Amino acid sequence: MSISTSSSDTLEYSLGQEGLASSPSQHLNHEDPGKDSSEDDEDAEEDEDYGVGLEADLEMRLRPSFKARRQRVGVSLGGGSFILPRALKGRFRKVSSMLTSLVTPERRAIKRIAELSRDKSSYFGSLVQDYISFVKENRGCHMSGMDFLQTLRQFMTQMKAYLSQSSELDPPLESLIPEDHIDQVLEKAMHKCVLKPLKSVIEAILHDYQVNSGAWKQLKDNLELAKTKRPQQLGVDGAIPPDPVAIEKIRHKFLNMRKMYSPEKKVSLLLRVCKLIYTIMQDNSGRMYGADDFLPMLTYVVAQCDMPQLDTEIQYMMELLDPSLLQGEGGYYLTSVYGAMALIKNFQEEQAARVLSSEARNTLHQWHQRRTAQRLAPSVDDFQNYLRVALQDEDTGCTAKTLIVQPYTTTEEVCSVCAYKFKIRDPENYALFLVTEDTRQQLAPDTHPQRIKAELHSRPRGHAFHFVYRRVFSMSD
Amino acid sequence: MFLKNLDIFLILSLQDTGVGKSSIVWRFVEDSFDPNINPTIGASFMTKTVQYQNELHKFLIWDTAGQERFRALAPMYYRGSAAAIIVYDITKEESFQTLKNWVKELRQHGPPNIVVAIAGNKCDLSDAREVLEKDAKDYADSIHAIFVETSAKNAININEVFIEISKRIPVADAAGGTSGKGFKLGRQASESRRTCC
Repeated sequence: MSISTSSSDTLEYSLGQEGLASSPSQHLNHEDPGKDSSEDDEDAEEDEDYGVGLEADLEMRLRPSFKARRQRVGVSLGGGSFILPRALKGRFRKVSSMLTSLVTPERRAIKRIAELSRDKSSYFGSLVQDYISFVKENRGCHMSGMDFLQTLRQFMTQMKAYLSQSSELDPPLESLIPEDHIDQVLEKAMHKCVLKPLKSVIEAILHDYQVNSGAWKQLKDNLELAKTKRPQQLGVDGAIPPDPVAIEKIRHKFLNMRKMYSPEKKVSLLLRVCKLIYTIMQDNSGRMYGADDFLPMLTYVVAQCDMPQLDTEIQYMMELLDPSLLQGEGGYYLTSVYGAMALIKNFQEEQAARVLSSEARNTLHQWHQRRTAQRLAPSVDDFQNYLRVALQDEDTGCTAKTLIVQPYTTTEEVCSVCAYKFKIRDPENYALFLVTEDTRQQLAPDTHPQRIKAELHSRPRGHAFHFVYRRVFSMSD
Repeated sequence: MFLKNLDIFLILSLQDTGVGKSSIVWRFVEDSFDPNINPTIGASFMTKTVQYQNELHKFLIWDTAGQERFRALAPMYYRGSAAAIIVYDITKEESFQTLKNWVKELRQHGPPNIVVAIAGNKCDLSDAREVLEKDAKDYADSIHAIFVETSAKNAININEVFIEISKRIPVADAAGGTSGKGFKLGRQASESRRTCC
């Protein structure tokens, strides 16, 4: 297991949560992919089934639920900053871990797909396993590393399409998760079924291509040279660069990034690095910086980190990331780090010509055209005035309905519609919750679910979230 | 209220990359409709939300480095954009010439229906003016671009730039302007419809 969370990060996170627990709206804003707070979760997800046993599984479930508990403890007590005594917390923890396993149908779905992928008697399983063996046995059969990654991406996309149409999954995905999340769940599942078992093989293949084409040597030579340059020589003008301690911290984050197999998680670590660089620049001067200052600084930092392996990491993210995530901050900073690396790779040439090589330029063109050609059509509940709400019931599991909800409809009104639609006899014991990957919070009666949804949708990097209508447990439960 | 995501490419065609430029980036976006939904990484990628009729338009602003060595990266940044804002400095004739090169490049390599907005930034002193407002306006008209003189220092006309862009971005389908995950609806729309220009 790679537990990479440093203790200071964890501490910061816990304190943050404790403080914010009383304010649901604030918490919404608090959650963003670049924040250190997601580090826990990433490791949990990535490590999830290194140990396949039940024990590990249980332990993993406890981890996210621990966070969920913090949320609910604060929120369900009426928004006060009341904190439960330690003794009581233990009990809550048990209850909530049980609940969390109920409310994470996505994890269940991913787990189910992963199981199926290992079952060679299923069609899906045999396709995946055959592909994995093929990749392992035919390492040099592609034109280039990029060509290889493209076929890998294509395979995952095809498998997603197969799974969303086939009836091999029982129960079908639609019964577990809302339609608009199916794609995301399938994407994650593909990472787990395909990228995870192949991670070290992919790295080795990419490295071989680099070495054989001479790119590795060129990269190392140029990196060596770029590393000797002062920030000013790389175009930094005015802003104070990170000191060696900070560089070491960034290097550590990049090393963690290398451990991830999910391109999405890699990108979120990249965002964290960018954030750190920004923080250092701003702390040293107290002013804001645009790309004119940031790009040169990023180039300087990448050179100082002295990690030639970053090049294939960037390639991996650029080719394998879910296309819908290429917009927004993820796409922006990935583009930027690609540019920084391209500059370093061609450092000697660049010094002569003072521009990026035309090769890098063409690659970028092709990449962008290729990767943005696919577009996803928005599903019905992306549209305003619709809201998909799941009823969570201990006996029957989850059932979801799409309701017509106006932007200014309050949570209280949505609850009464839910009570009617789901035929709830004791609506006073039910409430509407916003459930994300690792948090759950009860929405206050006077909030507006549509506005919350709009806010969540407007995030540059989409997070899975659901509105869940379910029974509120009182303290005596 | 509809929420629509629009990609904007911001070019700051200012000659000296000293103190002024980054404050302009910031000024362009800081008086955001809802500061809470601004991304938090840094000022080279920012968002600005503007209310336009019954829609909220969220601009995703991609800034790129203007230095020559980073110039080759620019297509990567503007390729998916629905609009581009090019800022020049009215006290520097040279910055206006650079702007024209940017326009040329966008017309040649940018998305076909990209909306171009030209913003003449008056730093402080209009007595140091080198580019006449009329000349710039004529040029903007000749290329069907939005034109406005702004003051990043006093936030004059900054919102207007965004409102003007909103007006020119094709309206969303009847089903509603929507977007998940921040993908580029503006671009999608601009590929299938023609703008007024």
